[in-house]
Amino acid sequence: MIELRPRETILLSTRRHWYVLIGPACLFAFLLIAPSIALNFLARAQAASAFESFQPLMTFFVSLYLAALLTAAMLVWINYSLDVWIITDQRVIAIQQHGLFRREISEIAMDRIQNVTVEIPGFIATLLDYGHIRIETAGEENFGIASVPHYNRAKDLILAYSQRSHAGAGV
Amino acid sequence: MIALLLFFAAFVLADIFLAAAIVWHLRAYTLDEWSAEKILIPIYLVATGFLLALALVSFLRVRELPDALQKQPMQFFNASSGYD
Repeated sequence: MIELRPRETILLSTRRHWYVLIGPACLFAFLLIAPSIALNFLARAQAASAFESFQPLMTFFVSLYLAALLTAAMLVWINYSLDVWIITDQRVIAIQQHGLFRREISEIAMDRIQNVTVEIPGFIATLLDYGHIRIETAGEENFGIASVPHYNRAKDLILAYSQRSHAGAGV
Repeated sequence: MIALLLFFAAFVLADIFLAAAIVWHLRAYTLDEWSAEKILIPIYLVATGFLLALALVSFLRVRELPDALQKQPMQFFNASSGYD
């Protein structure tokens, strides 16, 4: 997945907090039960014998609907699962998966990090212990990581290893 | 019937393409210590295969539908709602 440099070790690898999956999970749960509600309604609304003659056609469409739903759910999972941040003792790597075929990998060396800011966006974030981390670097674009679980641990690791890099470089 | 067959064939092709891409991504980009993805791949493939097989079996049975419809042409649409 990621080629590590010689003597480089992974300190922490993390994804966005599972909270971001609640919305899609509710939507998929609703879409999963929607056909059975619709078919139940249809069965009650129409004569049973006539309904039976349409059964193969309905099974056909419901099967395809569920297959499409399953694939859509996997696409959402991939978007979540492959968005990952890896903190090593030498750099911070952010991998962002946009859809199925667009992938963005950015990294920043520990010795270029100047400041780390943590933002806790609200009540739920406080409750579930997740936050956004912004890494400021010298002369470069800021580097943001959203919805990081246990953000304090990530922030402490980044700060500790960036200070160690600065000390090692004689800064 | 031809339209249904074309729709089914297009759906199966698109689904197989997306399934292959999903499996490829999960295998290529998953860290070694992550286990959920390794469990999800076979579950996803088996579930998709089952649903497509079920759709195929249903599709083959749909060919009998015109006869059934001829026997009870408008009964399906005109029947009592069951709520009155």
